Amino acid sequence: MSLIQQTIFGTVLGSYLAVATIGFTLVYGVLDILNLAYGEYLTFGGLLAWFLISDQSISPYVAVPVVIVATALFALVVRWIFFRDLMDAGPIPLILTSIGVSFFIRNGFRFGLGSNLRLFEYQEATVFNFSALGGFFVNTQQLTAVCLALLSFVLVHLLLTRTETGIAMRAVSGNESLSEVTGIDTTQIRNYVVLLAGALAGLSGYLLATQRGVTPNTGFTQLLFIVSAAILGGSGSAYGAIAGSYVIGLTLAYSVAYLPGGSSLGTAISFLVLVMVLLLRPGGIANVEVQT
Amino acid sequence: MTEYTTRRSVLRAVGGVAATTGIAGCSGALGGEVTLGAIGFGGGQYSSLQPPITQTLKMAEKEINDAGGIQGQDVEIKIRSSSSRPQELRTVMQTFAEQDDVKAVVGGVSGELVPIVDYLKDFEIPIISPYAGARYFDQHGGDKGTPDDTSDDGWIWRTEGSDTVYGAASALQCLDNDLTRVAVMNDPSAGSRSWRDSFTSAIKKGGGSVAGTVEFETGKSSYNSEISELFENDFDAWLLVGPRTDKTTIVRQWANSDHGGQLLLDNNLGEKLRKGIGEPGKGGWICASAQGGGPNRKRVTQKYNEFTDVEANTFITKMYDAAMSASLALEAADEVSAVGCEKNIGPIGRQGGTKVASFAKGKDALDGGSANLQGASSKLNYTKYGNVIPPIGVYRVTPDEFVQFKTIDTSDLKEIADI
Repeated sequence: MSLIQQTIFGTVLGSYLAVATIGFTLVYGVLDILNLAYGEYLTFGGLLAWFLISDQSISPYVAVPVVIVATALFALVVRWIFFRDLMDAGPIPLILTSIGVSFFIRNGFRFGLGSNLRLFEYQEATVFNFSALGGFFVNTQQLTAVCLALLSFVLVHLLLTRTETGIAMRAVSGNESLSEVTGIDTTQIRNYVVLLAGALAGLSGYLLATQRGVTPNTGFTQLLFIVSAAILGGSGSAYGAIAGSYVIGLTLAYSVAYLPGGSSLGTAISFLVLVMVLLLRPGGIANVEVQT
Repeated sequence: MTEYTTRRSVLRAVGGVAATTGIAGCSGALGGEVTLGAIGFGGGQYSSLQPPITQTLKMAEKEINDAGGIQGQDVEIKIRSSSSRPQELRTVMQTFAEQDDVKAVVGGVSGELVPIVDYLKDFEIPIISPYAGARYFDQHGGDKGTPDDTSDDGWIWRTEGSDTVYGAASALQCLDNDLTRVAVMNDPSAGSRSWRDSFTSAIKKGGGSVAGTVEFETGKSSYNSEISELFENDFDAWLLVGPRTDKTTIVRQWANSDHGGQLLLDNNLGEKLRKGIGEPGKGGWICASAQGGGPNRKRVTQKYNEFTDVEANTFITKMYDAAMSASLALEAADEVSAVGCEKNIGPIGRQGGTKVASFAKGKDALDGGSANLQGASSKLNYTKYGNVIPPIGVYRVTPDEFVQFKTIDTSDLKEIADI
């Protein structure tokens, strides 16, 4: 089987994952919350995208920005209601709260909207076949996913490096107390991080939903991969999150292709890779400083 | 004297009240209620199938009670959910037996029945499944042809055809069209593996060959790698078996990969599947229960649509048949008991007796002699192993509907499968 082909598949998988993981890891890095309700933001984005595009026949060029903004606001509202007053409670209460919030939101979706799979109308993709390098193909759907992911990476990079807000986010992530002393409004920065994470979750939810439809469980099923990619890349590092996501995507693709029973083993192999990387580099791929 | 008289009067009065209460209690017990159990899907992987099934059970319950109930007793069909997991089904059956005192149970998928079949048999409560297609039950259910002797019974019946039948039909469709090299993609559940094995076994018996098989993990967002792995092999047709959501993802990704090949799917004709794969899977084949179904299909489908607005699925006729089989078997029994039901399920469905299509007509026929229940999904001529052989249709996938273009004579399947 063509290695190039599997690399393409892994890259596409990694792209879906990376968009979501950046948001997750930024929340962890700046707010110190391992937000296990993050998957529900993806579900929200997917459901809203389905409603606008499939149910209301709105053009994706209009619907996708709406989904991104709406999911960002959804994330902010969830934070204000459930997490804001618990910021000083410590990591364990916050994790437990996020688990409860995840159940609440997911079952709210299920109760309100039902468990049915919501599918987008099938879009035939244009397939480009190549005979070089053992033969491979790529289609427009895959290219769209990768391009959208790359665009979001570039925008996040520009935000973090070229804007005051982004630089402030990195400062707060590094040392919140010092950031406050230098005059950074950390409360406002936290809100911006949540908005950014929500926006990325919305985009990722849309991309996932176009692949296999959306149910109330869609985001939850991706959460384990998101958390793993974030840890693999280095908690709090957006660049590490991207790298970690592609490592997991490629591992999943290669496992299926080159291991017997690889489809079932792929998930297990991904976590094995995570453990092995952390044993060698406890700070993850980005070698984020490990606090003891 | 006065005190003694007073004491006797009090005792007489108390005795009179007690006797009256006892008689009243006895009357209530004589009126009574018969409970049938139904295994629900709960929050499990098949949960989306439940709403029309619940409506079908309500419809059946109403039909039975409107006709006077089972041997004069009202029927209650109690649904308890197992989430299609064997460990939860154990609890459900215990509750059915010890708390609900059910006389029969309808429901259950292969994945939860097969692993605990011996445990289920110990309850000696007949289970009629409208879903279980596992090959295991080809020779492990029913009354073994001896209805009056329950000592050798399997206690499991089904109104759904075995995977052996549908798998063989799919194989025959390939062989008849000179598509002799096949491949299979399936999820690792027991039901899907059973389907796969039925198909591959029949292909080989028919002189064909299996180029490759790939098992996929369910719930993934992309199956491109698995599809590419399958198509590394050279074959004419490929079979896809698995949950609807994954099948939809796989068919869509296959269609956008230019691999080609003749697609076959397992025997699911659901509208939701058609909406998902109608366009990308067009031209694909599905071997499933023929459109005519059983003799009673039209009446039951019409009745269902009048009863509820909940959209039907392909299992409502099979569940209706299961409920009617259990109810009429209890009506025919000497006593309203699980054993009585078990003894009569086979005879009610097999040849002989007045042909009936409803519970009310069945009651009348039994009053006059014997009844032969005509099913909605098939003729319900239960084999000695408790199986039915439904008529098989071959359907073509189109964007608008599944179109039946051929009927397979089940006698043709006997050359390539043990039916």
